[in-house]
Amino acid sequence: MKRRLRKIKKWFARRRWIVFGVDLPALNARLMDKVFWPVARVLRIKRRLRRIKKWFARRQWKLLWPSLPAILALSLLVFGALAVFFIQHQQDGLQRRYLRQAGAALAAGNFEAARVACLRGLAAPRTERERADWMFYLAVSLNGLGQTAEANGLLAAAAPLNQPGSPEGHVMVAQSLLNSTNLNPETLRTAERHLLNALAVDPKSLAANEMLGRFYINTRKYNHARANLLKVYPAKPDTALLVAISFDLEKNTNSAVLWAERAIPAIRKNLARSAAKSSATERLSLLQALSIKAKYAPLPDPLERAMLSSTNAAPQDAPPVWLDLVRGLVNSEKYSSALATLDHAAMVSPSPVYPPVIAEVCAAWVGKFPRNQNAERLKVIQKGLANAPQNLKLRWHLIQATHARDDSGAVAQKTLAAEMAAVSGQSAAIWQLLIATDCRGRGDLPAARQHLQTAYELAPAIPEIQNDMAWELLSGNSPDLARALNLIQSALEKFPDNPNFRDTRGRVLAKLGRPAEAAADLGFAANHLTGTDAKETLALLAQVNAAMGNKPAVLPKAATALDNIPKRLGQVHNLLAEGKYAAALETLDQGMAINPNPAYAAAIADACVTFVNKIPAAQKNRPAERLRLVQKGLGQVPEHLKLRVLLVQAAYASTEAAPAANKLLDQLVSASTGGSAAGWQLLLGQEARSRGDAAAARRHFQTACKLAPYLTQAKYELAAMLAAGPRSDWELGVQLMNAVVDEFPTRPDYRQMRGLLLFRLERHEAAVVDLKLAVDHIPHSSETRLALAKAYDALGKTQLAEQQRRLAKIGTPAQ
Amino acid sequence: MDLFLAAVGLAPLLGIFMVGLWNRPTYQFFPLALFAAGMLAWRALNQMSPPLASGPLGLTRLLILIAGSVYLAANILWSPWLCYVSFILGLLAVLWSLGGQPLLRVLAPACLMLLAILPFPGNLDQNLTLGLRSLAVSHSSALLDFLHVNHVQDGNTLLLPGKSLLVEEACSGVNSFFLCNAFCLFWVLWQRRSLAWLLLAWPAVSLFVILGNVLRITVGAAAFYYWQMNLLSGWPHETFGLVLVLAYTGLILSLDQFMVFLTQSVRHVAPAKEKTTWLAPAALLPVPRSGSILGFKLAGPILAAVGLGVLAVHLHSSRGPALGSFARLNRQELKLSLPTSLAGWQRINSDAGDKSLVATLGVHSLIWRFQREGMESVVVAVDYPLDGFHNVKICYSGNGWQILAEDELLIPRSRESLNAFKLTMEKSIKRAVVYHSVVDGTGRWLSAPKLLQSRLSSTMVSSIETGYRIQLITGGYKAVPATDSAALEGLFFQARQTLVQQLVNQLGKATAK
Repeated sequence: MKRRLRKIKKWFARRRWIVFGVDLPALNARLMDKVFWPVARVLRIKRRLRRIKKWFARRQWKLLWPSLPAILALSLLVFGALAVFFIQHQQDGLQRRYLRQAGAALAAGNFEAARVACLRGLAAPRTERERADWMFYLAVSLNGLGQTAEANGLLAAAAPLNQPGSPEGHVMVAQSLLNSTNLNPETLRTAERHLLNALAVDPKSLAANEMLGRFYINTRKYNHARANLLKVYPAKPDTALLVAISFDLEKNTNSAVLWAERAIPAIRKNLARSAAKSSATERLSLLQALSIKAKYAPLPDPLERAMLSSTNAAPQDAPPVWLDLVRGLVNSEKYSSALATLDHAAMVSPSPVYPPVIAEVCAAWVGKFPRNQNAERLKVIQKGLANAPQNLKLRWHLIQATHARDDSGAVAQKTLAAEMAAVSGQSAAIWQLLIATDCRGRGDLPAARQHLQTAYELAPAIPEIQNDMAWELLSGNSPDLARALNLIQSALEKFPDNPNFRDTRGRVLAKLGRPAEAAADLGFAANHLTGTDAKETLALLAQVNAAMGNKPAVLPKAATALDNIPKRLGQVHNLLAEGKYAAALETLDQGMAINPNPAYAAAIADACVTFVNKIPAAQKNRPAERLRLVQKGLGQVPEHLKLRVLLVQAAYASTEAAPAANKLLDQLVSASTGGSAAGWQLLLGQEARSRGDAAAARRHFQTACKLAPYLTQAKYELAAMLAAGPRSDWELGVQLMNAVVDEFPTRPDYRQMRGLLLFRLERHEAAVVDLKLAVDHIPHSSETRLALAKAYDALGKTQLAEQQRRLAKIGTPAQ
Repeated sequence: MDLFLAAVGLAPLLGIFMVGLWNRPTYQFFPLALFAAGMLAWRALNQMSPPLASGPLGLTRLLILIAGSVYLAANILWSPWLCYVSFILGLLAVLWSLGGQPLLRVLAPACLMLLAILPFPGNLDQNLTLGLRSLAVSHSSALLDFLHVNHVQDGNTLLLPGKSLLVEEACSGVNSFFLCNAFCLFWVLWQRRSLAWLLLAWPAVSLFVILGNVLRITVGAAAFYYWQMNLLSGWPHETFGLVLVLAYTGLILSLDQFMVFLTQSVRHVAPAKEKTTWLAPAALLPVPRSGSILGFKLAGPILAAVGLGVLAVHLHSSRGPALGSFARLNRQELKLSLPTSLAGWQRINSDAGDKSLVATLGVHSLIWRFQREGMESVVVAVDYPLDGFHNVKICYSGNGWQILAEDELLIPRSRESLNAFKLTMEKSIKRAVVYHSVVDGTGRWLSAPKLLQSRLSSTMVSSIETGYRIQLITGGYKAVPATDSAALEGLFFQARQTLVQQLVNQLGKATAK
């Protein structure tokens, strides 16, 4: 049957299927190719898969097992080849990796590993500079391995005088030259050349700039020194000290003080970072900065004055120096470091000042511990009390620690018992008083009474004990008012202005039926107490006054104590956000009436500005309203810049309010003095300039400079006006900008101005320095770039000039 | 009889050839190759269906003539290499004479096996040695980078922190390379695989060997770097090498099976293995026709006479070079020493030094380090035994050094040669200067052949003198100043004189024994 079917199939296959002149099989084939080509492709793939399947089916699979080692070896070969290929195309990555390894090894003192890494880096350096750097690192490694002759040879090759070389190498060579004994001019020149070479390769090198700065200070080239040091300053603010030294040596007092003031916080920050491990050099630097400042300006801080007073100890180890460091650490809440520093200081320069300070630091730290760190807190308390057993805060904290429910509570109790057993007399009385206060706070009045009694028996003359005893006598079941009065009188004899004592006496007197005297004491107390105490006193005062038939006294101090400034300001903020400007101002006015303070004044001024900006200027009658608000705001904060600007604008606007604004402006300007007046002149000058009245603008700016010579903005504005003037003005402009740049050397706009002036004066070398810095920070200033290009041209650097012109055209910054 | 006499004639040079092969570690497997050739021949003969007809006499004679000419040239030039070539040609002639083309075809595998032990002409195998070593080191270096091992490749040395790994030939796998390729050839022939099969298997085996040795170096270096384990010396190194050789053998067999797996299907019916009846050798060979089996009358006696005569001439000549090669079998170790103070230099130690700086292909190297105030330290080394004059420039070039200048040292006034050469070299940031001379066992200076410069001739005209090289090397990170030359040359010549004297005395006594 199958054979028959096959025969039939073959017979059909051999027929020529031409229907109506169409060869069907050929048509089918064409259709399959053109129309059904995806199907044809799938069929082809299927055929191939079938062939592959057949091939796999025909394999002798028993031979696969013995073939596995060869297959694995071939796979490993391919993998190895890929790995090698991959690695060989990662040279940049390898170089970076070896650079990191060399750096880490050198830092860790593993010179052998560094040597190998450096040799590897030298095998394929990408640039000449990189090669020189690798040679330098290799020299350092070999030196660490004791191969000093080879190291010196390599270092000389890494830092040659006639080639760029490695900046670090040049710095090291220069350092070794400058550290050598018997310095002669030749050595100095060579060291300078090395440093200049380093800067030629890496102009931003901090080490090279700093060293060159120091070099120039020592060789009395102060301007050069500052030029280098100012490059370091942004990254290393403590370099300000060297700048201050350079000004000090030039006897430029203002600048010396200015830079000394910049150096002091920078050095303090460094000291705080290293704390107990701070170097003597750093501490000496701080003293040096302070001494420069003290030469020309007073030192308001007594600790700073104490630091400069001579002691038996080395200056950098004097107790005030350590205490200053500790103060900084405590302010930064680095209590652990502060204590470590104090311990170290006590070892280095023993002094009786340290224990109380340790106790104070411990007391401050105790309050910062989280609740679940009772044991650690207790240790700190114990440390503090070991240094100053009389410290009240620590005693209080110890008493609080006894209430802990964990093991530290028991330990605290033992400590408390030991501390109390170790003291007697007044000290023991203080313990009892503190415990009584604690008991009272916890509601254990009988125990409080008992301890207070004990305290009184131990030291009846202590005013606080007398005060507390008077309270007890006042508030007991059978009050002994006469005795209470005697006690409190005794306390008030020592401290007549103590509000707590006055309050106590007031209450006693009130109970004794002496309302007038009571009112006086209570009024005094209410004016000086705050919070809940003030409220209670006020309430009692009101009762007393009522009993006397008097009106309630107005107690501004008390009222202000009741005014909640943050809450009111919050309300104002919400009102402003809702656009209810009038309501916000009203709220602020109320607050100001109750409790005048700068916060409300500033808020009123700000609210006025906001309100004014929301009022359209062009609408009828609105300018007057705007002026009123401006006047209101300036009445609170006369120095408010935005309000001043608004006023000036209003004075020169073409509105009906302009005359009134002018009048107000004249009043305010004539009433102001000094810096405030200078500020007005500045604004007026800017307004005149915007109107095109250059002469008026110049007049105003000149006036501003006269009124406030320190106002850099005024100098800058005036310099800008002078730059637009005749040549004779440019030199003055440069002088003005020199002072400004000395104060703010890194401000690009100031450098730009000076650069432009110098360019106009044809001082191209100096101009290039300023203009280069300016374009680096203000890349889109075409005018600056064109000026820089012309300056380069004048110096013969045509390539650089072309580059700047090109950048000026396209307006993009250089890479 | 002819054959016997011919064998006697060939024996001297063939013997020297075998000794030469034994002295070269890469070819020390030749006894196995000969045995393998024998096995192939035995099987082939057993499976052959006799009788066979001899080949045409004319061709026999032609082959014998060619073989004889080569043999004559070998004797004139005293070249064992040419002698072996003439032996192969003579063997082909004999086989042709005995059985014609059928016999030749049947025994072709055995002849191929014999060719496997013929060294490449023109020192190609030496170049291959250097190339394989460099390849192994450079690829190992890449893999070590992949494994984040901090290292640097310095020629054929891998510098790790605290260790310097000098990759010698043994590590580079050169010895395994030829052995494995020969085994691969044998296996393919034994299994009667096709030529295409061989052309695929050979490169694969070569790659396996390279891979194995790259892995050995990489694993050894990584093990030292990470765990301070030393796998590249001592018994671990030997064991590792042995394991690798066994692994290569296994891989060759496995590769063969893999290729069978890929090429042969289940339907493939392997040809029925003919049952081999192992007969005695005499029964295997066809009956030779009457007359000289070599095609010429007195061919055998002539060959014997020439061979023995030339041997006698060489033995009685003053140079006595014939013994030199045999003497190498013993590989005598020399006990040389230098004084603590020499030419103003002080010896630092007797047997230490930066071996990586002293690159050599010699078997032994003795090293002394000297120092002088104000100068870099120098290394004096003796390397032996060498095949005649061996220019150390090749070794340093192979290690990555760039030769900046090569000068022969002459006496200034008379311009006579001092038999010493000075090399000025540079590698990365390192600079070095090498002074070297080569002397034979009798104290005669050896120099590079001046007339026959071709590399092929240097193989054929193999020097049978054993060379002893004395070299002085100094280097550092800066160029050696010209002012130091006099001191360096002074030390070199004094050291050379001292060492040559000791060398000649010791070798002279050894010969006398």
